[in-house]
Order: sequence, then C-alpha cells, then structure tokens
Amino acid sequence: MTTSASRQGESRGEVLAMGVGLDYNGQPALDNASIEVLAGEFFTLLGPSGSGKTTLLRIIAGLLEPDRGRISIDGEDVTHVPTQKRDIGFVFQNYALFPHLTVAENIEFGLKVRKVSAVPRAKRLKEMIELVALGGMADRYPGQLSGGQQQRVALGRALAQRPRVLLLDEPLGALDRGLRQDLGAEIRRIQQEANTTAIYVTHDQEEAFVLSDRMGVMRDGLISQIGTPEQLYRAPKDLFVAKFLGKTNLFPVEVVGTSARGTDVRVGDHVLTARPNAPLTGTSAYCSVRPEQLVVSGDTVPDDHHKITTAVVTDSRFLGQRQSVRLDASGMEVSADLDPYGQVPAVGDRVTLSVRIGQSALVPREDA
Amino acid sequence: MTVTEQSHTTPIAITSDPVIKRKWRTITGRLLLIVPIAAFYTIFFLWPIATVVLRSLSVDGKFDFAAPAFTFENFTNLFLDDFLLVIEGRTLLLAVNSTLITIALAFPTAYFISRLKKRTAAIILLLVLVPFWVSIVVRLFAVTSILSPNGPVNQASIGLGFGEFSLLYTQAGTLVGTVMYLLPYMILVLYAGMVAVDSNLMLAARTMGASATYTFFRVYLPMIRSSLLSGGLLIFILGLSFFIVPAILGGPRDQTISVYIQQQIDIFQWGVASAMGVLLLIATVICYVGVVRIAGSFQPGGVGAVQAKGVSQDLPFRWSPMIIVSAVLTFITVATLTIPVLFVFPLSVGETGTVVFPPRGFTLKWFGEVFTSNTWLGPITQSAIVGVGTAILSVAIALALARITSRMTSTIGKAVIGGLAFAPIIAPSILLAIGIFDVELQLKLTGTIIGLIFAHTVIAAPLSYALISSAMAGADHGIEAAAWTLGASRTRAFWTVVVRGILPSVLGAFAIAFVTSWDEVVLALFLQTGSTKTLPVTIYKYLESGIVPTVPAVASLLVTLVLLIVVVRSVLNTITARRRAARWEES
Repeated sequence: MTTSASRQGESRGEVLAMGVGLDYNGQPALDNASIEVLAGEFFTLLGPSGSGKTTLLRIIAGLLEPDRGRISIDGEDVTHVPTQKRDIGFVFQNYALFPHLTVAENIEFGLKVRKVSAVPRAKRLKEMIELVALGGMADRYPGQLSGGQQQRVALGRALAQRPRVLLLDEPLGALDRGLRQDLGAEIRRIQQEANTTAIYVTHDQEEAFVLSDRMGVMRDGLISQIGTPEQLYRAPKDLFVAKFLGKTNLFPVEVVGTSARGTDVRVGDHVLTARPNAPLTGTSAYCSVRPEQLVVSGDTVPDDHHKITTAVVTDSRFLGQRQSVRLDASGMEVSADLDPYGQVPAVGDRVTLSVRIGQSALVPREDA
Repeated sequence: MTVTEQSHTTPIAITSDPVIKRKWRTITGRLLLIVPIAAFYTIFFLWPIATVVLRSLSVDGKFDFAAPAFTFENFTNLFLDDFLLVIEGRTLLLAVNSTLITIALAFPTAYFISRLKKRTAAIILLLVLVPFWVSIVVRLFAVTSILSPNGPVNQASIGLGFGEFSLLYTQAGTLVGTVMYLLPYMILVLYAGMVAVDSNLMLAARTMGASATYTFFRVYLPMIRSSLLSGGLLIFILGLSFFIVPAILGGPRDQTISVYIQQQIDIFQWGVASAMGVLLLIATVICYVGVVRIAGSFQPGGVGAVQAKGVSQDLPFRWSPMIIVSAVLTFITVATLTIPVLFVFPLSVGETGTVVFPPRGFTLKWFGEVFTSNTWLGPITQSAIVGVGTAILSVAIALALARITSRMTSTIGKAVIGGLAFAPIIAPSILLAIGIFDVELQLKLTGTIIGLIFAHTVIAAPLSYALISSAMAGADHGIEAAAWTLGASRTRAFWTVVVRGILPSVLGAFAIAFVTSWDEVVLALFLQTGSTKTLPVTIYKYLESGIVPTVPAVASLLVTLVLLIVVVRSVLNTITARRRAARWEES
C-alpha cells in the first residue's frame, strides 16, 4: 500500500476496466464494460436503475467479482485483489456509517486499520474534519446527525487514508433536492482538493453534468457512450443517450449524402446538414434537435440555419429563464425553448422551425 | 427526483450481500464453520435421540450393534400394560388440565395487562417475569413449604375449622405446581398477540351496531386465535413432558411419564422407558407441527415479540364487568406467581433447625453458613463454571450459525438450519436427558464438567442463536463492506464492525445461555454422577430428601439475584433512554 508514499499534488488512481461482465441468474447484469478513468479525473457512470452502473462500481471496489474481464488500478491488475487491499475509498448510498462510533472515530477507522500513529492520525483527522466542514461535530454519533452531515462524514471517512480512487454510489440519492445541489458542488470541491480520482454513480443527469470531467452513460448492462458532458449532450451516439440526457425533438430523416459541414439529411421537403455520426448505417435516422436549438421565425430562415419544417404554435408559457413553446408540426409535437426577452410567437401563429447548420445530432433509428 | 422514485433493480444477491467472492473459497469457509457445529449437534442431539429410538425397538432396551434384534414389544406394552396405561392417562390428564387452567388464568391476565397504560402494564409484566426467571426448583421449594402440613395453607384451614387440607404429594398439588410453571409462557404469548390487535377494528364493529359480546367473539377472538392456539399447544407440550414438579409434588406413587422414565433409567431398565420417551417425542412433534402451521398461516405471536404497546391502548380504559373479572383473575394469577417467590424470605431467617412458617426468631446465620460451608460453595462454583462454559460455547455456535444463515441466499437452506437449530429446545427434556446420558456414558463424559457444558449448550445455543441471528439480520449489511473499503481485513471487519454493532444482542445471548444452564435441572440431574452437583440439582436433592435451613437461605439469595438483575437492568434502560433523549435535544 502506498498511503505514506503519496504526496499532495500528485494525482494517482488511474482505473482501467477491460471487458468486464457479470451474470446474474444467467442474465448479464453487466456486459463487456470497458472504461478508462485518468488519474485525478472525476468520472461519472450515469444510467437508469438496473443499467449495471452500481454493479460496475462494486466490481471496481472488489465487492463483487466479475465473471469476465479485468480491472487494474495504476497499472496493477487488481481483478483478484480483495477490497481491503485495493486502497480505495467508497461512499455508500446509505452512507453505512458505523453507528457505534463517533464522527471522529468513523473518520479515523481507516487510519487505525493502517496503524497510523497517534500524532499524524490526529493531524489527519483535523484536516478531514475541516475539509468536510464538520467542525464541532467530531464527538457526535451518526444517529445525531442530519442526512447531509452524515454524507459529509461518509466522504471524510472514505478520504481520510488518501485512497487512490474514491468510489461514490449515489451518495446524494437519499437527500432532498436543495441539499443535493449544494453537496454535489462540495463533493467536486473536496475531490479536487484531495487530489484523488473519483468514480461517481448516479441516475441524475443534472448531478452528472455539474460534477463530471467525463461520464459514461449506461443502459441494460452496457456502456452506451463515454465522453465529456458536452460531447454526450451535443453528439449523442444513439437514441437512448439522446433521450436520456435532457429533452429533445426527434425528426425522422433520410440520409442523402455528405457535405463539407456534415451529413445531409432530408426531412420532408427540406434538406439540412447535421453533425456526422460514425455508427450510423443505412439511410433512415432521427435528427435530434434540442428545444433550445430550435429557432422559431416567421417566413424567413436566419443566416447559417437550415429549415426543418413549418409548425403551428399550440401553447406558449413563460417559465422565467425561458419561454416554453409547444408546436404542432403536421401531427408531430415539438417543443422549443425561446429567449423570453425576444420576440415570442402567439398561440395559433404559423411559424418556420430551423436549426443551426451542422449542429443538430443524428442518431440511428431503433425500436426502443 | 425524490428518493421514493428510485427503485433498486440491481440483483438482490448483489446489493444485499456484497460478499460474492471466489466461490470455492466461500464454500470452504462455510464448511469450516459448519462442520464442527454439525458434528456437535450430531453427537449431542441426533445421536442421543437415535440411541433412545434404537433402544426402544430392542429387546429389554439393550441395543447391540453387532446383532441388532428389533421388536415392537416395548411399544405394544405401552398400550397393553395396565400399570403403564394408568401412568399415561395420568400424564395426559395433567397436561390437559394444566393447559386449560393456565389458559383460563392467562387469558384474562394478558387481556387486563394489554388494556392498561404502558407504565402500569410494565409493572405487572415484571411481576410475571420475575418468577419466570427464578429457577423452578426454588419456586418448587416454596410451594412445598406452603402446601406442607405445617405450612400456612393447612394451618389456616385447620384454624378456620375446615380440617386437614394438604395438597402435597397429590395430583392436585402437581396440577398447581405445573400451572404455576406454565403461566408466564402463556401470558407472554397471549400478551404479544393482544397488543398487536388494532383497537380501531373493535370500534369499527361497534359503529356497525355489533354488541360488546358479539364484537369480542367475532372480531377480537379471531384476531388472537393464532396466539391462543400456538401458545396453548406450546404449554401442552411442556406440561406433557414436565418432570420436576410431578417428581417432587406428585410423590413416588403418582408418577407421570417423565417421572417413570427417570425411575426406570435409575435401575437401568431402558426398554419401556425409551419407548415412552419416543412416545413423548412423537406427541411433541405433532403439537409442534400444529404450532408452526397455525403460526405460519396466521400472524405468529412469539414470546420474543413483546414490543412497544400496539394500538390497543388507544381504546380508553373503562371499568366494565369484563374488566373487573379480568382484574380479579389477574390478581389471582399474579399472587400464584409472586407469593412462592416471596415466601422464601421469611423461611430463611428462622432460628430453628427445621424450616417452619411463621419463622421463630430472627437470624442471618444460615446465609453465613451458605458462604462458609462446602455444601453450597461447591455447587455455586460448579454452576458458575458450567454456566460460563455453556454461555461461551453457545455464543460461539450462535455467531457462526447466524453468520452462515445471514449470508445464505436460499430460503430453504435458512429454514432447514433454523429448524434444526431450534429442535433441541422443542424436544422433551427428559428424552434429551436420557439420550445424552446414554451417549456420554459411552464417551466417558458423565460426571465431567465439560460433559455437562456440552449438554447444556445443546439447549442453550438455540436461544442465543435466536437473539444473534435476528440482530444480524436487522443490521446494516453495508457497514461490513464499508469496513473492507477502508482497508480492514475480513476478520477485523467481522469483529470490530459486525459483532461490535450487535454487541447488546451478543451480551444478551451470553446471559440467556448462562441463565438456561444456571437454572437447568433435568439434564444436570442425570449427567452429574460425582458428589458435587450444580446448585439447582443440590436444591432438588434436598427437596427429595428433606429440607435443611440453608435451603431457604440459598433460595432467598437466588431470588435476590434475579431481583437485582431486574432492577439494574431497568435502571440502566432508564439511563440510556434519558441519555438518548438528551442527545436528541442537544442536536
């Protein structure tokens, strides 16, 4: 173990999962999952319940043994190394704090296991209490703390022995919304200050966006796509990723060719240029246009934009940050988010919908 | 999204049990735990029963492995021999009568307590529980004194002009003693069932126009039917194979099955005795299957399930004819239970060399004698050693077994282990006693301390297991995995996190095993061949041969011990409750 050798400022904890799979009752709960998490990176596994994200995290932690594939941390193959020798920190969804130990004793647990002597241990404890902002709570028992405070203790406990990797399993899942946003930002701050790699599991895409350097979207035991939040949002590889991250309008299109600015597709009578998508085979696809990407105008199409279709406004609501407009594009329901301070069409107006050239995404059609 | 919207579809085996590691190693680990326990149960539980069964099927009860010769003669005798039929009839009558009387007293008592306010209820429950914890031998000693010709009952009868009235060495005396023994069990089972009843259901029936009587029979009674039936079967089993009370209060001529078995084994006549043992076992198994079916198909009301008062206290307490009758019967029940326990104190301070009531003079010299003579110091030490040994072994077995079952995913496996683990406390103690006696004779363990520890562990470990396994099942499985992620080894995580987390239950398991051994008479009676015997057996021997003045002194000390434990416990509970409340206010 390299606890004593580690220095602040040096990032370590590169995690590699190669073709990891685990069967449950003959069905793969996780299949062929490969991720590469760089040292010091904040990586999120995002997916709905049952997508296998927690299973993958537990395999990385050594709490589950994979049926297939390998895990390595900092180049060392740890597939068969027991949890306690992997030098990791784990934050459980229900925190799993030791109820019979105080906050301080919980945080010190890993240090005592590693036989850190009293003086450096007390110093580290003080640092951790400060880092997770729990001053004055050190002698309390977990039962006397609020959910948010317990969450900080769990974080402090996981980080006290300077683990190579911090693994977090929906750590904000049990908290209410306001608290989640505050603590989410704090987790990111603490991870940056502690200079450790973090792998974070969540089903909440907002959380994932706020926290992650990169993320992997999971579905049915498979990793659908890996990338920065921006890459995934702007260029989803498939229908699932397009729909799971934020709202979108999906226009059925036919691929007609390629041009300098992207792939040309036909939607109805119009041809527009969208972002190319390598996995796309065949000619039928969906063109994914986010509500905020849609431009609503009269008869004219703005510069640098391609026309998609015409539509009739059916509903228009002021939501503070945006004006949410619903439209009927010859039977297809479309939603657009407009600048509430600009020109806003009225219900019943016939308008033109367009999108910036090369910015809309193309995803293969699939029956899902 | 809120918490409630999340559903956890990660496979159950994966989330609930983070231990799915190298499978063959898990299996070897489990085997290492389970093989010694299985061996122990085979030697000290299965083999004893098997040996009794084999003897019951052999000529003269002498089974020979080299030349097995089977016969049903012993069993046919049970149903043909007039003398044996009388014994069996007497036993059955005692069991039926004591069950009926116990229910008649326990039902109104439990009902009355369930209707009281929490605090008052707790006090009356304590008056039921204290006698329950005092060794049956001690209570029996008090009962013999009360019922003896110069005891208060007979003297009062003569004084009032009713003439001689002695229940000692009669079947009526046996009945009284047995009811006294069974009452706490039945009260606790019924009380648990009654507090679980939702009083709104009765109110609902009343709003629909049902009379109080109708509501009682058609709404209330059906809801506690399962407690009533399973509790009734439980005490019937206990009454059927009860040994100590019939042995002392019944006298040598009015034997029951258990007493007859003991007399026969004393002269090494195994044939009919083992057949009777098997008969008891069969009756017990039938009743137990009944209990399981009733409790399984309805809501079970176990002894352990006396939780915080349910909603029945919401129903306002009002003096109605039914409540008044219940109160009177409760008074009789509580008196039956507490008077014998308190009666030992006046008996212990008399100056005379024979034990009389009321005591003549006042002296504490008998207490001094208890602590200075070897007559009592030997038994006290013996009991303490056996008790501690039993407790350690029981907790070890319980921890290992609970560990295995808490990790098991198959419900069938859990049920099998659970059923086997509890079998020894259901088996008639007289059958276990003669079986273990036979086995330990062959293993040359009779008369040794370790032999008695093994025997006591057979009946104490199930109780420890019940406590520890339910605590382990209720504990957060995550904290063990959390300890691993922090670098703690498997061993360290198990002891400092899992066991530490359920420490109160582990201590409770230790205490219950110790008390079981400390109070146990039947096994100890058979297995101790030396001159020094455990405390309850020593008292039992004095009850057989005649009381000396130090017996009430020892009895008083034992009662005081129970009272002390009860007081200390309730004080500790109050302190922790207050501390917890204070903590909450502060945070």
